[in-house]
Amino acid sequence: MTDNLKIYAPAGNLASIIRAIDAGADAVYAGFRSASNLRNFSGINLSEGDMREGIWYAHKKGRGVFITINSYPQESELPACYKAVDDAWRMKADAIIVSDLAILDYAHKNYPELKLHLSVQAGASNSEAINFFKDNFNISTVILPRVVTLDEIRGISNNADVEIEVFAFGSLCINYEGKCFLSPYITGESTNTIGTCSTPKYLKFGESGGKLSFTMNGIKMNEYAADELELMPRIKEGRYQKQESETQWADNFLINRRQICKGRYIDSATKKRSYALQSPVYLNAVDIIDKLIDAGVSSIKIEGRQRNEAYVAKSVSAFKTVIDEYHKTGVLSVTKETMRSLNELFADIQPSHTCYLCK
Amino acid sequence: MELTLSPVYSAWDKQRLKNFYIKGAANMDVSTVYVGEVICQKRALLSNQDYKDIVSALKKSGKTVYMASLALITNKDELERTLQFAHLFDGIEVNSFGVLNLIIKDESLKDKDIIFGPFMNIYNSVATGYIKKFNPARLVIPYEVPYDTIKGITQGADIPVEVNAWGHLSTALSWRCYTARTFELGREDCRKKCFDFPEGILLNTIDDEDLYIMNGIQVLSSKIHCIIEQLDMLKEANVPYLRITPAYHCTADVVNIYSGVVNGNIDKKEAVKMLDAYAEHGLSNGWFLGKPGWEYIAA
Repeated sequence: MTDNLKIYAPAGNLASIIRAIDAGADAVYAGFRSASNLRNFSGINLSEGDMREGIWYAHKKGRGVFITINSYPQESELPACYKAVDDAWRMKADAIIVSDLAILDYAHKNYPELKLHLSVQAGASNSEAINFFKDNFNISTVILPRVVTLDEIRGISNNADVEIEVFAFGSLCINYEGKCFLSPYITGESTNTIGTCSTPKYLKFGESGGKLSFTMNGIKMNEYAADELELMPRIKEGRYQKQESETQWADNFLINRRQICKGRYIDSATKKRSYALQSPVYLNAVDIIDKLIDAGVSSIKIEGRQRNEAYVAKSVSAFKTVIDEYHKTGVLSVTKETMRSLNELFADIQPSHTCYLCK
Repeated sequence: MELTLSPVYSAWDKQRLKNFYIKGAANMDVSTVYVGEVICQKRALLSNQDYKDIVSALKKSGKTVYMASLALITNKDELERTLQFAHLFDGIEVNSFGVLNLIIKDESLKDKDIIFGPFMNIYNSVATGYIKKFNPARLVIPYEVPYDTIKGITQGADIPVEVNAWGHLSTALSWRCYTARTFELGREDCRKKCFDFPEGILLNTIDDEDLYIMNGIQVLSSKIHCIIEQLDMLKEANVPYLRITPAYHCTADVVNIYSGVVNGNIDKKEAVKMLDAYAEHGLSNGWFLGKPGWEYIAA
C-alpha cells in the first residue's frame, strides 16, 4: 500500500476551513469572492483576509489550502482571475485549481513553482487529454470528471503521470463537467464563465391545489403533492431530529432538488412524468474507497463549498475514520452509523456511486 | 462569409447519412462539410469505404471536408477509434484535448488542418492566442458565447472563427445515455435505441412546455438557435464562417435561406419568417445576445 488516500474538503468560509482541518482533511479547497471560481454564489467564498487566515491555520496544522480559480473567463473577467492567481501565490496557497488555458498559461509562466491542479471543469476524461495538460502546463494533479468508471480510472492512472483525484461525496452532477449548459439555457447566467448553476435567485416556490411547485426563471421544474413532500411532518415527528435546525434540514432537502437537471419532465417517447435526466440522489463512495485506491486514485474530494461548516466537519470526519481504519487493517469497514451520518447530510435521498461501478 | 455544415449530432442510419452527404450536402451552397461521429462511438457505423465515397463526392463538388471527432472520450479504445479514418480528410475537428494531443504527436497527420471544435471551451482571446501554437485552421466558438466575447476573440487573436448560426443548441453531455435510460436501459446495454429517434426524444416540462431534446448522451435545446437577423454584427466582427447544423428534414432549405441572406437576395425579416416554419418548437437567439438561451429577441 502506498501513501494514504488524501481527503480534500470544501470550504465556503473561514469556519469551514478550520472545521475541515480539525476533522482531519489533508487539504481544503476554497475560492475568492469573484467570478474566478465555479461556486460563485452570494454568501459563500472568502475575502482575502479570511483566505490568508485559513491558509495560516492549515499550514500551522501541517495541511494545505488549494484555491479554485476554475471558471472560463471571458475578456472582462480575465483580470479578476489573474489577480486571484497573484493572490494565491502571495498567500502561499499550496496549489490552484484551474480549467482555462489562459489562466493555466498565466500561472505556469509567472509562477512556475505554484502547483497546478486541473479542475474537473476542464473535462480531462482520458489519459491523452491529461498528458496534454501535463506537457503544456506541468499540472501535478487531475480531478477527473464524473464520467469515468473504475476500469477507466485505472486506464488513466496507468497512462498519465499525475496524481488522480476523484469526487467521492456530495451533490451529484450527472453531466460532463464544463459541457453542461442546462442552467444557462434557462437563466442566461453561465456556469462556465461566472460560476453559477440553477442560481437560487431564479428559484420560486408556488402553492396551488395542495401542490408545491418549483420554477426556475418561469420554467416549471417540479411539483410535489403534500403527501409526497412530507417536509414539515417529518421534522415534527423527529425523524430528522439530529439535524441542527429546521432550516438546516430544509437546506439539505433543497440542495438536490433545485437544479434544472433534477426536475421532473415528460418525455415524448413514453409520455411518462419522471426524473428524466437525474433522480434526486447524492454521491457517496465511502463504501468503495478500497476500489478507488486500487484503481490508482490518490485523493478524494468532498463536494459542497455551498454547504455549512457542520456538513464539512461531519463528512470529513466520517471519511477520515473509514480511510484511516482501512489503511491500518487493510479491510474496508463502513458502519451503519457512518452511513447514516452521511445520509443525514442529504435529507431523504438515496446515495449513489455515480458511474464508478459501471462496466 | 461562407456557410459550413456541422457534423450530424443525431443518430441517423448509415444509408441516410450517406445519402445526406453524397446526394444532399454535395449540392448545397456550403464551403465546408464536417463528417463524423461526435456524440457516441456506438453510432459510428460508416466504414472506410463509406467515408471514401462521401469525401470523394464532396471534394468533387469543391467542398473542404473535415472529420469531426468524439467530444467525450473516456478510454483508449475510443481514443484510437476516433482517428482511424482521419487520413481521408482535409483536417480534423478536435473536441477533446486527448485527440489534439494524439494529432500533434502523429507525424502522419501533420499536413492535416486542425479545427478547434465547439466543445473545446475556448472562451477568450488569450486562450485563443495560446492555441495558435498548434496552428489551427479555425476555432468553432462554444455555443453559449455571446456576441461581445466573439468580437473580443476575433479582435484579439487572428484565427478564423466559425459561429453556430442554425441548429439545436448542445445543452449537456453526460456519462449517462438519456435515450437508453428512458427505456430503463443502461448505457452499456443501450440496444442503440437512439436510432429509433433520429430527431431525438422531446422533453417537456410538467406543464407540457417543450424544453429539451434527449439525444443519447447529449441534451439539446428544443428551440432552434437562429442568428440570421444578426448577420451584420457577425460581419462587423470579421466572422468568416457560419455553421448550419443538419436536421433530419430541412437542411437544404435552411442553407438556401441563409445563403440568400448572405448574398443579399433575401431580406432578413423575410428569412426569419421562412425559417420559423422549420422550427417546430420555435427559434431562439438568447445566448448570442447575452440572455437566457431559450429566448428569441427580434432585431
